Amino acid sequence: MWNLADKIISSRFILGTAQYPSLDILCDAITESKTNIITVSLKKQLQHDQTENGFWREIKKLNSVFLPNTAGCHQAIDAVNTAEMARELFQTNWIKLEVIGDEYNLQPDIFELLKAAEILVKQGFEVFPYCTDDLVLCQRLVDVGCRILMPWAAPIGSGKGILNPYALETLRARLPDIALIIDAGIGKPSEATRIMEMGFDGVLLNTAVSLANHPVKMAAAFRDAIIAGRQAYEAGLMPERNVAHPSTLLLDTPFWLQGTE
Amino acid sequence: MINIFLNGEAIILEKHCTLGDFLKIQSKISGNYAVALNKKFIARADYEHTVLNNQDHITIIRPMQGG
Repeated sequence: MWNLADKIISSRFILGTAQYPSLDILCDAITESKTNIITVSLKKQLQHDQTENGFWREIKKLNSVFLPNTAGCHQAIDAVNTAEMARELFQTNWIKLEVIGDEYNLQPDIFELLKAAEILVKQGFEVFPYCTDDLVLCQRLVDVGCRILMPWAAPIGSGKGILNPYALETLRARLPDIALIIDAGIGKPSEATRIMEMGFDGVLLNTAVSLANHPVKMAAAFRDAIIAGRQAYEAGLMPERNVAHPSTLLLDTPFWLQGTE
Repeated sequence: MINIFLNGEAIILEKHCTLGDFLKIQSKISGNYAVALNKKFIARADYEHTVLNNQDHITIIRPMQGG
């Protein structure tokens, strides 16, 4: 079990809900992933829409914790406004704060992000900022009251994996008491395992599951990969060495030193 | 009479009314939603004392999939 922002959570896997082939596959993937937390978003109701949508009707049956996002916001003021709507819509003070600065790689605008985080923390939100792996930015986010940080491994939806392991290792080492969840850029379960082996607290991903040929099977693969990585971290990885060491003691084996006589 | 916009659709009201009164008579608006008035969030607790004015834009916000 894991205490995340005062909630007891059993899974360290946070799953996004976008881009699945169907609502049924999405729900099956969530179930198979054994995640406790799913990300959700907000949209304007179109004129032809009728009352509640199927997504909301189905998703609330899954008993997941909702982590709404502020996707599409480019200014702090828009992100704050969206967060306020999300709080009422999803009945949670958790917010995945996204303030995008560049449309090409969806890199966060760190200046607007910091501004929005400070306002939202003062308004009682539990802010999960989607941020880069910049140490100083992360320290500033902690300074304004963030207890959780969500640095990227690579740009959203790129599936490129861990682009800068040094920066991520530095974050883990320098912010040992902050919940660090890697958000974005993960393409393969093995990358999620590696992140967890590095001591990160969790992994948030969406596209790697939703765009897989078999999203439900991939959800299971990531589930197991994240568990394996966490168990390995808790067990303690052996130190890497530059020279070989025999794993079998050779003394007293039948042919010990035979070739030297 | 005042003109307002609901999700971009023009609506004529015979007189000023509160946001709360307006939402009650809209058949398409039920279930789980939030409201932005002129792009600013209005909390549910404020519906009854938010008076609609000419050219106001009301946007209904719904849950959707997100990553």
